[in-house]
Amino acid sequence: MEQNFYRDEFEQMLRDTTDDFRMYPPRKVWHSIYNNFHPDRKWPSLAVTLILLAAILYIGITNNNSINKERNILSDNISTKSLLAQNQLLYQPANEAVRRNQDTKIPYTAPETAVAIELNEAPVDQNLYAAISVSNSVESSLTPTFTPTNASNVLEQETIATNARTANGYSTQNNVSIAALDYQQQPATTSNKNINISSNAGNVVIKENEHLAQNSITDIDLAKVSSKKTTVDMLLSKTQIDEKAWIEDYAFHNKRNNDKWKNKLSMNFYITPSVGYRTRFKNNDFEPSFGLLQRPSPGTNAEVITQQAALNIEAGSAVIKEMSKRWRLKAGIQFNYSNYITYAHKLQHPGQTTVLQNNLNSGGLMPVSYSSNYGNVLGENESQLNNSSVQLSIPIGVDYKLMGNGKVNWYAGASLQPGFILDGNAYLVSTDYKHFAEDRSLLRSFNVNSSLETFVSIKAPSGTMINLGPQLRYQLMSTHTKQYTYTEKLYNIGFKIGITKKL
Amino acid sequence: MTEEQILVGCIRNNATAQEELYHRFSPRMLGVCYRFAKNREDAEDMLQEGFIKVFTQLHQYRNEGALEGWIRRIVVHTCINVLKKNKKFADSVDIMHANGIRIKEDMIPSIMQAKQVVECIRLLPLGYRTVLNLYAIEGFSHKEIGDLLEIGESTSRSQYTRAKAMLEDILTRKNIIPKNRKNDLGAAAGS
Repeated sequence: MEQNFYRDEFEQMLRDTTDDFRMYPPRKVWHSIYNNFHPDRKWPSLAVTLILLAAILYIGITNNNSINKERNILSDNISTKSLLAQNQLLYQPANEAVRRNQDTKIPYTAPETAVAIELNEAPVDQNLYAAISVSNSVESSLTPTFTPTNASNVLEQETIATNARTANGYSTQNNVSIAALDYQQQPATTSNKNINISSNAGNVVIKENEHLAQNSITDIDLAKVSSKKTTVDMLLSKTQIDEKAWIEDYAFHNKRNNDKWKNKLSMNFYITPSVGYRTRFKNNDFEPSFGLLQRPSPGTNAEVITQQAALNIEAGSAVIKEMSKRWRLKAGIQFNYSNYITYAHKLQHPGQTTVLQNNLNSGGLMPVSYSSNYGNVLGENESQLNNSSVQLSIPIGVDYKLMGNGKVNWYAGASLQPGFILDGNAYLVSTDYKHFAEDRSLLRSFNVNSSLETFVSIKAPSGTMINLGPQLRYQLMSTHTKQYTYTEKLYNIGFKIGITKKL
Repeated sequence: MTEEQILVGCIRNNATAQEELYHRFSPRMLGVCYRFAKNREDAEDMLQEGFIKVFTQLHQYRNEGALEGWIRRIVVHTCINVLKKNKKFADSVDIMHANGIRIKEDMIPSIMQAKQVVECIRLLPLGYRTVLNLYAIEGFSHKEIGDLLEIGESTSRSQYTRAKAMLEDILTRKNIIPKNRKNDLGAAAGS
C-alpha cells in the first residue's frame, strides 16, 4: 500500500508538472497540416497557370501566323524596293574610273542557262561609256552574289543590284552592272558600247578600248546619263516583269508555314468511364508468427479480403499534332478518379491493430500501430470502404491511323500519364488480416499510368471528329509508398468517348 | 466555437474548425511530443503527423472521454511509431543499454519547473524515457507498453524502475524533489 502510495505520488508529481508544460509550434506546422487536407486550395493557382500557358500557346501560334504573313509581305516589299533602289543607281554617275584597253574578265558565279540579249541601239555619249551588263542566271547556289568590283584584273566598275531569290532549291539571280568610263578619252562613237545582257556560262567579257581614269561625281554630266534612261527603262521594265512573275510563282509554290502548322493541330476532349480494380502482391518475404503480427497461412480463408471493382472515370483534353499521314502526337491534361471497394465489418468499438511496414531507414521491417474501426470479418454492419484516389496527370502519347478515308478512320493509340495524387483513401489490411487501418500518408503522391486504346473516329457534318473506342489503363507504380509491404497496381477497362476539332 | 461545433466542422473538413482545434491543443501536444523526441524539430514532425491522423480519424471519436485525452492518445501512438522507424530505437529499449550512464550536474537545466522536469526526463536514455513517459505520464500499463514497443511486460517494468531511479536522482540533485523524499521513493521502489 505504502509502495503504491509513494509510486503514485511520484507519478502524480510528474503528471502534474508535465501537464503544465506547453510549447508553441511554428506556423509552418499548421500550414503543412492544412495543405494535407486542402490540396484543392492549390487548384486556383494551378488553373491560372494552365490558363496562362494555354493563352501563351494560343498567342504564340496566332502571332506566328501574323508574323509570317507580315514577313512575307515585308519580304516582297523589300525585294521590290531593293530592285527599284538598285535600278535607281543605274542613273547615277559612277564614281570610279574604269581602266580599259584590255580585256577584262569579270568572275561570275555559275550561270547555267544562256540567255543573251544584245542591245546595240543604245545612244552612247562620247564622254561617257557605260557598260551595263545584266545577266539572268539560274543556279543552285542560294547565296546572293554581288558582281565583283574587280580584283586583280584592274577593272574597276561599280556593280549594282544583286537580287537573289530562293524558291524550292533554285535561285534566280539578276545582276545589273554599270561601268562608267572616262569621257575624256572616249572618242565619239555610236558603236555598241554596250548594253550586254549575257549569261553564258562562265565569265562575262567586256572588251574596251578606252582607258579610263578616275572621275568624281561632279565630273559626270548627269544630263548625258539621263539620255540613256530609255534604254535602262526598258531593261528595268523587263526585270520588274520577271520579278513579278517570279514572286507570284514563289507565292504559289510556297504557301505560308503557319497554314501548314495550323492545319495539323487539333484539340481533343474526352471522357472515359471505366471499371477499375487492382493487382496486389507482397513485396517482402518476412513471415512473423506472433501476436498481432501473425500472418494467416496462405490459401486459408483467413487470408481472404473481400474486394470488388468499382466505377472509375477519366476526363481531359489534349492537343494533337499530325506528324505524318498516319502518326499523331498528343499531349494534354486529365483528371482520373480511381476506386475499388473493400467490404469490411464496422466495429462497435475501435480496436488496436498493427500493420507491418518496411523500414526504409534500416531496410528491415517494423510494426506500426493503428486504431481501427473496421474488421475483416463480414457480418452485420457491413461497410464499403472506397479505396479511391483523384489524380491530375499530363498524358503524352501517340496515335497511329490503321485505316480510314478521312470521314471514318480507325486509330490505335498509347500514352504515358505521369500524374500527381490530389486526394485519396488508403485502407490497409492489418498484418493479421483481422482489421483495416486507414492511413492516407502511405499513398504515393506521384504515379505513372500507361494506356492502350483503339478507337474509330467519325467525321460529323460540322467537321468535328467523334471518337469512340475501348481503353485499357494500367498503373505502373504501386498505389502506396515503399513503406507498405504490399504492392498494389490499379488497372481499368473503359470506353473512351471524345471529340476532336481542328484548330 | 464550442467543442461540438469544432468536431462537426472538422469531420466536414472545414478549415476554420480544423485550425481552431489545432490551436486549442497543439501547444500541449507539442509538449508531449517533445518528451519523446530527440529534438524540437523531430517533435514538430511528430506533432504534424499526429494531427493529420487526428483529423483523418476524428469521425471515429465517440464522445466517450475527453477529446484531449483521445487526441493525446493518437499523438502518443504517432510518437512511438516515429521512434520505431529509428533503427537505434530497438537497441535503446534494451534494458542493459542504459546501465552505467551517469548524468552530470551541468547537464541538468535550470529553468522553470515544468520545463525543468521535462528537460530532466529528456536527459534519460531513449528506452528509459519512452517507458517512463508511457507509464508514469501517459498512464499505459506495462502490458500495453510491452505490446506497443514489442518488449516483454517484465522488461517494461525493469526499464521503468531504472528510469524512475535515474530521474529521481536527477531531480534530487536539482532540488526539485527533497532528498528525504528521494529516499522514501527509493525505499518504496526497492521494496
